[in-house]
Amino acid sequence: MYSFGVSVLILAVGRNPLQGMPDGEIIKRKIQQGSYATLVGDERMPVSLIECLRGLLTDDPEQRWQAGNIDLWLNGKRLTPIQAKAEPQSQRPLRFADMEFHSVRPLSYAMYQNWDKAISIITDGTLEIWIRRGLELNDLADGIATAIKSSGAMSGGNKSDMEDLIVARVLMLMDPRMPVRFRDFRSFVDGFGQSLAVTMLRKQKLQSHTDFINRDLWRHWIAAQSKAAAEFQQFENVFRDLKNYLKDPNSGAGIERCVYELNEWQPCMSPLIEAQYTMEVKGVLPALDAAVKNANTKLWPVDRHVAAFLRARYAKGTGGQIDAMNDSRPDRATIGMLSVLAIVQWRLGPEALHNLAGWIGGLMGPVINSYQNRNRRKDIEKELPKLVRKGNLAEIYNYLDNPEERQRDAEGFNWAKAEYASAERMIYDLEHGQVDRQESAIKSGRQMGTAGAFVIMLVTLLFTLLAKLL
Amino acid sequence: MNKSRFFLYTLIAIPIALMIIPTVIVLAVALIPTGVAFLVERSKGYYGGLTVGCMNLAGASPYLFDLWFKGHTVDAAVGIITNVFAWMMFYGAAMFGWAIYSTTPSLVSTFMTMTSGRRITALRAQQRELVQKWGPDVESVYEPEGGKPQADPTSMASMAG
Repeated sequence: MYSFGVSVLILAVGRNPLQGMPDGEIIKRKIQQGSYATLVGDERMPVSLIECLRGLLTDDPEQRWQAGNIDLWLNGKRLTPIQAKAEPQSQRPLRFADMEFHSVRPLSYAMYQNWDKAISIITDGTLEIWIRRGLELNDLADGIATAIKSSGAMSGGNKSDMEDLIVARVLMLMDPRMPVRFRDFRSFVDGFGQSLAVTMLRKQKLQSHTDFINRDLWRHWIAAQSKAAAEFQQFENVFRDLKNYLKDPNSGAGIERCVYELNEWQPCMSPLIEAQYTMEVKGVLPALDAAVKNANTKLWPVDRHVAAFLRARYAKGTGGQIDAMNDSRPDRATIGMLSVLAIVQWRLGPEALHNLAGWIGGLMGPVINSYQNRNRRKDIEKELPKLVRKGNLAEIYNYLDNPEERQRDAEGFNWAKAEYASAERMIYDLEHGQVDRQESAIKSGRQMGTAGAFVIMLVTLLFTLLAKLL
Repeated sequence: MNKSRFFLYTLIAIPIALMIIPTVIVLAVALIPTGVAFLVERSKGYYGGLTVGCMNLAGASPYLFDLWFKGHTVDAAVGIITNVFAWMMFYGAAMFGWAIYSTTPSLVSTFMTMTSGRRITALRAQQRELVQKWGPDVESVYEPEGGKPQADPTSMASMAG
């Protein structure tokens, strides 16, 4: 409605009255004089429009005219917008950045523009004393004192981080209507999702956005608001989840997950399929299939963006599979990645994905090597190209991760290990039993010698006896 | 053996010995190597004495049968023990017995070593087949209870084989 009001004003005047004025100056004037006065300036406005423009350009969003108010106004009902309460002015000015300030909001804006200088007037007590004595805003002064005390513990001990957090929180208290401001970053809490998406699309640094979540800047901004709104509780739940996603370093979480959770209609931003503007889960596999020509097929088709997109849009279908994809064992992770794609194809189609199947087939090395039996590996290497030609990922998955084959392989491997160990033990016994064997050989040899001599004696006695008798 | 039993055996043996004095004379001379073998035998089992004894008796048997079949007299016995050829026969046979006693252990040992070598070669071949089929992960090193086995030069030789 505010933009509509500005458009009406420009149409009424016939030109942009602020043409050529720097953004900073516009904001400064709006803070000091209000939007209506800044935009109208010295222009003569049609009397019939003044009421409507005042209503639309009211700076307080809660007081600002909505469509219903315009409807009433068009029907002739007179609605006088509530005039914004005048800001408390201090008799004694506060000097900051070579300027003198008599009220809080303009000073807040100047402090934001001179971020590094702002910390000095906060920590040396100048700001708090001026607010307490000059403006007699004791609640605000107390809030600033509390923010300074508590920010030290929240920043984790780093001095620069602590100072940034203090400045950000003090600015929120001084001008709650402004967005969260944190060095170069500024965003309203309800516009954070779009801000994140735009920054990610522009491939810019996301540090400020992660700070916004991790340092609970959104919570401080809500705490600074004078009135509680129904959506604040919703923010609590949303940002708690976002913080958990950021803590999780795995695919399917992280900042990528945050952007898809916050922007329901955000297309998948994976570099592989970004150009294809894939907004639905159903479109991911065909997009990947088409992306094979230009993709580095040594990398996985399920990158962090694809995983986060699927997790955010199709959590029930792919949650377990994406968890498996993050397994620390390469073979389990690879089969997990295949299972993510296989289940999406199985449930949402299409029936054949020849290019993607070929891509996947080339990545299955760790899975093939996870079989211990070399003959089984050769069989898979022979069979896999046939399955790839069919283009059915579910079939490839079922063939590669057949539980019966897995069990047979594991049992065979255990048997082989036991056989090897048994042979090793027998070899050890044979090699290290030399001394025992020598003793045994001596004993056996002596026994055999004695037995042989006894036999010779018997034969000799027999023949001698026979010779005497015959 | 207790004293009373020894006395009993002596009482039985003396009359018998008196009856077969010629045989006793011949055996007393002929079986001297057997007695020596029993005396020098240190290991349990008296295998040396028995082996030499058997061969010694076999060597003496032709003369004993001559004595028994051609006249069992003291003169005949003296005739035998004064015969150089008889002595050669007694002691030659005893020497042969001692030779048997000395050589059979080493022959048996050589045979057993050859057998275990072939067995180790077969086991190594079986292990190579397992590694070819199941990969190097099946390999393990046997460590007997009570610590690692000490290096044995014979094991190195068999592994090389």
